[in-house]
Amino acid sequence: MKQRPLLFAAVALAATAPSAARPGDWHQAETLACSDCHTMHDSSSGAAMRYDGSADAARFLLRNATSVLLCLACHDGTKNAPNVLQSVSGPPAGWFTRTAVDAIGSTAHPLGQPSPVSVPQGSGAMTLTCTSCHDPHGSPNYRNLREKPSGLDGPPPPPVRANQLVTANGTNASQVYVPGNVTYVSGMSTWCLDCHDRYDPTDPTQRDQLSAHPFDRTLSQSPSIWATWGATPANPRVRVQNPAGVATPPDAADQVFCLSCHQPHGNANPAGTVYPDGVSSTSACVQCHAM
Amino acid sequence: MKRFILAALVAFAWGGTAQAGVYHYQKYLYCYDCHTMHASMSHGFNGGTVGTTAQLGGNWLPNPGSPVPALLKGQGSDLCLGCHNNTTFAPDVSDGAAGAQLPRSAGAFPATAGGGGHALNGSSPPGGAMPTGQNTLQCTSCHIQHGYASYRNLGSRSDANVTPTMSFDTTKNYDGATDVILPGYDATVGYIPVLGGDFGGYYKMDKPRYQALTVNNVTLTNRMNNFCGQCHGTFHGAPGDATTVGGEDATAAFPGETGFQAGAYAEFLRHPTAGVYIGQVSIHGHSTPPGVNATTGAVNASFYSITNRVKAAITNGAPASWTAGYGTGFVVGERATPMCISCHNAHGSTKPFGLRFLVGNGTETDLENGGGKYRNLCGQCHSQGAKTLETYPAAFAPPVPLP
Repeated sequence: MKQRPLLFAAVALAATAPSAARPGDWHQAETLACSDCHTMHDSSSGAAMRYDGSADAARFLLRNATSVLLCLACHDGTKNAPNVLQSVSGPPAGWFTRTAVDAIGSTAHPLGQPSPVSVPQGSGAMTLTCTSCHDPHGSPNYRNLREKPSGLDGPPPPPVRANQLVTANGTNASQVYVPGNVTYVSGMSTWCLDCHDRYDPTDPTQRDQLSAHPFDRTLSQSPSIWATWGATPANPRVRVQNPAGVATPPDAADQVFCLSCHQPHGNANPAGTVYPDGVSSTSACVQCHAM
Repeated sequence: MKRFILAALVAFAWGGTAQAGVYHYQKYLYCYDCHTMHASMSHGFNGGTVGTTAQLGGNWLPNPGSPVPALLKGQGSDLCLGCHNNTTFAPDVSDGAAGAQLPRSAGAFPATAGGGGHALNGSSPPGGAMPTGQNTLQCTSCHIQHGYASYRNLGSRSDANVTPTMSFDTTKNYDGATDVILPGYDATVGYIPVLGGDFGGYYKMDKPRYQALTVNNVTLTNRMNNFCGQCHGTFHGAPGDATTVGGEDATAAFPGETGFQAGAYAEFLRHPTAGVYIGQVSIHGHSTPPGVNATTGAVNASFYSITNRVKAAITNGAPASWTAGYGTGFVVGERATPMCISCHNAHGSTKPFGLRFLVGNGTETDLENGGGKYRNLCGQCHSQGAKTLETYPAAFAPPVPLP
C-alpha cells in the first residue's frame, strides 16, 4: 500500500513527460502509406494520379514529376502537413523560399539543382532533394533523417534524438512542428557533419575546429557564456541541444549545436542563419557572448 | 438418397477424365447448360423435374422463362452467375461461401463495400479500351463460352490478337515452356462439375503455377499478362517501353551504384508486370533477393522466403549467389517475376481494385483477400519502411523506441 503514492506519482510523471520522438512521426511504420507518394499505373479508374494533374507518368512511379515537387504537393501549406515553404508558425527547421527550391539560393539548402552543388565546408558535391536528408520510407532518426545522408562509405553518424510534447497524428501539424514542441537531445550536429565534413574535429587533415565555431559544447562549462546564456531573455532564445532532455533553458546541460545558429530548411537570411531580433545575427551571438 | 442419385447422375453425365481443356470445352461443352431451344421446358432431359434455378444436367429454366436472345437461359453474365454464384457444383466467383474452393485463384467479384475488381457490365477499362465488338464487360469477355484450348478457356475477343492461348499442363512440375503448370492435379476429380465444389483444388489459389516465358518478344512474361494487356494495354509492356511501363537500365538510373543483376531496370513509370526479376534491383530497398544477411546472419525477409506469398511467374536460372533463403514453394535456383495477378485477383476481392493485402508471414486467415493493408502487398517484394512490423522477422522490425 505504501508503494501506491509512488506508483501514482510515476504514472503522473509518465503522463506529463515529453514523449521521445518516434523515429520519424510520419511516413514511417503505420503511417507509411505507399500510395501517398507512389502510383502503380498512374491511373485511378482511368484518371491520372499525379498531384499536379498531369497525365504523364513519372519516374519511380511517383505522383509528381520530381521528388521535391512531390513532397511540396503536401508540404506547401495547402494541406494538413508541415509547411516547409512559409514561416507561419516558426517551424524549427525554417522554411524554403521558392527561389531556394527552384534555383540555387543562399538562404537554404538548395534543392533540385540540375548538377551537383559543392557542399559548404564539405569535401563533396551533391544534388540535394528533400530525400537527401529525409528518408521517405522512414528511418530510426528524428524526422526520418537519413541514417547516412552523405551516401558515402563508412559508419553512419549516431542517431538524431529529440523529444516532443506532442507527436504527429496527421491533423496537428501546427502543434507539432513548432519550436516549443521540440527538445533536441543528441546527434544533430554530427549528423550535419556527415556532409559538412570539413568541420569534423576528429579529422586532422581537415579544417582546424578552433577556426570554426564549436558545436555540442556545454554552455555551462564556460562561466562567462553560462552567465550570459542565463541572462538571455526567454523569448526569443536560440535553440540548444540538451542531452538530459530538459526542455526549458537555461539548463546546465544546454549545448550549442548547429541548429543554434542555422535553420536547415532556411529562412530569409544568408545560410539560413538565425536572427532572433529579426535584424541581424548579432542578436544570436550575444545570447552566449557578452559584448 | 436424392443427393446420391444426383451424384450418380453427374458421374454418368460428366464421367471420364478431363483432358487438355476445361469444362465448357469439347466433350464437356453441353449446349443445354446455357441454351434453350424454345424457352420452354415441362420436364427434364431424363424425364425429371425442371427447376427455376441452375442445376446440373441442364434441367432448369429461369423463372419467368421469357425468351432471351441467342436462345440463352439468362441475360449476359447473369446466366453464368446462375451456376457460378454460390452453388455446390460449379466454381464460385462471387462474394460469399465458396466452401472447399477457398482461397480462389481468381478471387471473387466484390459484393461488399470497399471491394473492387472487374466490373461486370462496365465499359471503360482503365489503361485501355474494350476490344472491338465488345461493348460491356461480361464473363464471356475473358472466357470463351464455347471452349478454347487455353487455360480456363481464356481467350481474347480482340480482333488484333485473337490467339493469346495460355498453354497449361497437368502432368509436369516445371517445363519452362508452358504458361501454367498444375502440379498435383487430381484427374479422378477433374475440372468437371462436382457436388461439394472441390474440383481437385483446381480453382484454388495455390494450385496454378505460372511460368515466366518469352511471349511476344517480352522476356519473363506470361500470356496471362498479355491477356490482361488486351484491355489494359497502357499498364503492360516491356521494360524500357516509354509508352507503357517505362524504365531504364538500373546502372543508368543509379550511377555509381553496383550490384545489379544483368538486365536490371529501374525508374519505372508504371509498375512492371513482366521483364524483371524480384530481387534484381536490391539496393534502395527495391526488392530483396533470397540469401543471408552478411551482418546479422539472418535469412533475408525476401519474397522468396515469406509464407503468405502473392502469385508470380517462376523461372529457373537464379544467380549463383541465390543459394539460401528460399521458403516453401520455391526451389533453390528459381526466381520470380511479377505479374498483373500478383497484385490483383482477376475477378476481384474485398479490397480496392481487386488487390490482395497479404501480410507475408504470420497467421493469415483470409488468403484470398489478405487481412493486411496496402503496404503489406507492396511489402511482399519491397523492403522500404517498417510496414511489416507486425509479422516479419525481428531483423526487419522497426527500430527500438528511443529512451
